[in-house]
Amino acid sequence: MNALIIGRVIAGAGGSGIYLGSLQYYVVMTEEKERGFYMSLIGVFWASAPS
Amino acid sequence: MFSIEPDDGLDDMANNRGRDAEKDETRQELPQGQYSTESESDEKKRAIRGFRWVIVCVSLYITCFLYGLDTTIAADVQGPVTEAFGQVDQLAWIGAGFPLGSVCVILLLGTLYNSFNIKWVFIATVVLFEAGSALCGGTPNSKPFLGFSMDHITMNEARKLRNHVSFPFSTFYLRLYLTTSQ
Repeated sequence: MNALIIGRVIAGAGGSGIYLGSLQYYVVMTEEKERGFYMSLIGVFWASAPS
Repeated sequence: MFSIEPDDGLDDMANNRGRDAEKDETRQELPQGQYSTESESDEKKRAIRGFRWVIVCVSLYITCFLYGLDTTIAADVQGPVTEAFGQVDQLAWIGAGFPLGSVCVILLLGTLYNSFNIKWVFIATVVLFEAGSALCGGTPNSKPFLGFSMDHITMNEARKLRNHVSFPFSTFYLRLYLTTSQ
């Protein structure tokens, strides 16, 4: 059980890095006009995961 | 320069170069602020296009999907985890540990992304995420035949997704593909 909790903490640390990294990637790679669309799609996919 | 044939790129470049030279001449008379904004609007053009951009988007969104899946999976696995481990008093830490781990490193990661190469920081965080999930999946059970941990559920979801999606579904290899295609 303790290993499960520690694993969850490590996965959470990596997961926030994934989220920040994709935000950063879209900031770097997209043009200014389309940036809002792609960055809001990140939130769409994040929120569509539990459903 | 004024040929009837369609442009093959070289002609276009020559045109642009000539236009830039003209602009440079006129820019010297403009004030400093207008010069800087004009040059920025010329430079901002997306470099990756077409099918490669679709691959980049799909892989990035799949990693975000996995992060969202692990954030909210704690509510679904409370029953099986209680059944497998029998420690109800520690059940809340499964739900709380994930956002706590996220929030602890979020400022550090922002600094890391600003300081180092995005590619390697991103790969490192994906590896960290997978390592945490593997540690969850490898948790020793008290009742090995009854219990299964939440990572098995996540991996089952991934396997189902892989059956529907035709290209190789592995976040790490997708990330490798993205970073090498850049």
